[in-house]
Amino acid sequence: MTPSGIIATLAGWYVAETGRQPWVIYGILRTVDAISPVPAQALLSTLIAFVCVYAVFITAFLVFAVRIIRRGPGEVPAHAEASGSVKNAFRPYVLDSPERLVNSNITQRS
Amino acid sequence: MDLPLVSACFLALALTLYVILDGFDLGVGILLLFQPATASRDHMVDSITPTWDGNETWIIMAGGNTACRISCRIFDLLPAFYLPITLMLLALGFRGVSFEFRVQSKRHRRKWDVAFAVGSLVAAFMQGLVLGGLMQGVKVQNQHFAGSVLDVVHPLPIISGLALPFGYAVLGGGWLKLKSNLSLQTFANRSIRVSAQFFAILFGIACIYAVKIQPSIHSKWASHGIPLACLVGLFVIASGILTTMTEKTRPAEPFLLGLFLFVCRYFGNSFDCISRYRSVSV
Repeated sequence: MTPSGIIATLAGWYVAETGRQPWVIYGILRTVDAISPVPAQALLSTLIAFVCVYAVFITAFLVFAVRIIRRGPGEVPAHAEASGSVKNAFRPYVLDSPERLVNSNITQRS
Repeated sequence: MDLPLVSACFLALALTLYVILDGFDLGVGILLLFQPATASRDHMVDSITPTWDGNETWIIMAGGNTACRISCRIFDLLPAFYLPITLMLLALGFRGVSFEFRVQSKRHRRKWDVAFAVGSLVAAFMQGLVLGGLMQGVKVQNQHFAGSVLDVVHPLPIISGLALPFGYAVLGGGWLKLKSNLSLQTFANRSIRVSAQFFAILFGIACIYAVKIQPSIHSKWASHGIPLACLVGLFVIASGILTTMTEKTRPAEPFLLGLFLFVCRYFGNSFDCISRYRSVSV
């Protein structure tokens, strides 16, 4: 039963989009008049690009999600160092805590 | 004050805030490409983590406002800039996921950093293309867009596209100088100096080229020569200070100068773009 919610949402969306034709805004704007003058090749190539890029994103997301689930609760997450605090955003000199400077090899670079 | 003027002011505010705010975090993203040390890259990303998503939201504000307030014209602008805007969105997608994914992966963090940096670079380049395309003008006939989606692949938009990442890198370097104490100072100083030079040169070429190919920009120079020359003067002085800055410069100074650079550029551009656009569409 888990995917039924998603299927219902998508099906409802398809019904709304196809059932509304030939209108984009029912009774006011027809689909024919709403089409933008962009050539089909441009649309197709960007659609393919979107599908490819999102395939990469979803793959990486699944890999990381599975890894986090396997690791289970209780451990310190790997990204604890990113503070995400708005308080730090407009304050200078927050990045270099002393222990960080010891770990960083940049101070020696000229 | 009438409604069109209020709308224009609001749109200008949203765009300026976007360029200033997202400018520096795109700049920090671009500079990731040139930072070899993982710890320093972590610092750089940390410095923009709290604010980047809020900063980026201003472009949605600007886009939504363009759609609502000058809706008669956005139907000419969107097809004209379809390719750069779509590629910019894809690039921003890479940036957005890299923020979260890079910390999840120790082994492949470098790869996610490259995705982050390339995403920032491409997004900045595409924004420059749009700006150059506006300077070049959008072909409109009988109230309809009459150009091609490939109109942005011309010298002027491309030069402008190359200039913008350097401009953002100036802001990003200024931000790093403001936010980091020791470990990133040398890197920030060097990146400001180098990118300020390239930005000034490339943007200068774009402006001269625009004056040459666009009669309306040429006529703007003829009629409003003095204020425009003052803007150019201020721009040159600010870039001069940025390219000659040293380790002793106060931390906030380069960032503020970078912002000033963009404000000069913004006023000059809106001058040109508005007049150009009007003359094409009438």
